[in-house]
Amino acid sequence: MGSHQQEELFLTVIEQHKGIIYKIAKSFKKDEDDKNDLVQEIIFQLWRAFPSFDERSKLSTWMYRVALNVAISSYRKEQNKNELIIPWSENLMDFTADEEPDGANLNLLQQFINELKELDRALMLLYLDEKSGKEMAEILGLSEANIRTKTNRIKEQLKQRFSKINN
Amino acid sequence: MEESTIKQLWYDYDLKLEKSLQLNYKIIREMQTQKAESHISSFRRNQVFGVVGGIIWILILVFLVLNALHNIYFVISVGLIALFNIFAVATYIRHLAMLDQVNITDSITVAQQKLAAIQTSLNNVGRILVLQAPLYCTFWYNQQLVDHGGAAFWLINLSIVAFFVAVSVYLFKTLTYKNIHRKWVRGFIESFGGKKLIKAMEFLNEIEEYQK
Repeated sequence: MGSHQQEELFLTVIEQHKGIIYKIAKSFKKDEDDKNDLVQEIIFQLWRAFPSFDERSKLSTWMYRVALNVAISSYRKEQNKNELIIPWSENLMDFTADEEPDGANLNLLQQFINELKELDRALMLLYLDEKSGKEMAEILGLSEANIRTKTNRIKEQLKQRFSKINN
Repeated sequence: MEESTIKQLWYDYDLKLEKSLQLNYKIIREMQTQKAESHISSFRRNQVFGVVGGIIWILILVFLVLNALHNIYFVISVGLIALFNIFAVATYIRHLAMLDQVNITDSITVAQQKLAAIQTSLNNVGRILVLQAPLYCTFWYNQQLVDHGGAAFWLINLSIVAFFVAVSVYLFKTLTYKNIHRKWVRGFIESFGGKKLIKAMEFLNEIEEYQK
């Protein structure tokens, strides 16, 4: 594949999966600037890793692996905020005239996700995006039995949180 | 709220994101033209700097030793300092090799365990380098001083050396993650860039907890 073709294919892939990148960044960074920096970093690392994607795994699985690894590793860069890979001030992703989706229940759900530990947070995102146990195991590098147990535990916590609010 | 309602909420959110999120194609295209290879992470840069700087420092130490072979005290002190630094340089080189093995497309637990291993090793280098401190108190000794220093002189000097030995050994043994519950150890490690180590170790524990 020529480099121009590869660049265009990458743009198509990012366009199709931009939601994944945004949701992961929002779940791992509360501050708006930090979130935008993380989006930049994820897209840059996806681009770097793109030539090595070998189609043995699903594109979304590969994407989740890279994006979650970057998000989880981002604490290593906290002290180097001025050393961003991409020196541009513009964001790589923004909202159009429509505002960012909002709502009390959605905010509550996001708050719940933000409070989880990193692995639980990753698991929760995969669960909400309806990934299969096999795919979740592949992304996180854990056994399917482990995934089932942990997912059930988090689902229970989530249920309790929402029932407390709604009662 | 039921599980299905929560999932529907997330699904709707996803649809809205698809509609209202816009990529900045101009910037992404510019990013694509950067050669991936040209990007060197600050960590890798620090390790390379450590290797180059360390090698220069070792060469200076070796040069000094070779020019003072007549002074056994200097040779032993500076020779040992050089050995500590050879160890540090070798570990930094190992870190660079370990970094090459970290693949961001690996599963989360595999990639993060590798990164945490590097972070832990980095902390160990710092702890081991602390042990060389007493040698900086002895390199200036010479035969004349040993023969004619006098009791008071040696009492003061050896007390200083003993103090540095005790402090460096204590720091070596104490500044580990297993003592992180002690407030001053946590503060000490954090103030020397160990926040990343603490986070890495906490995450490693989380992974181990998950794998049970």
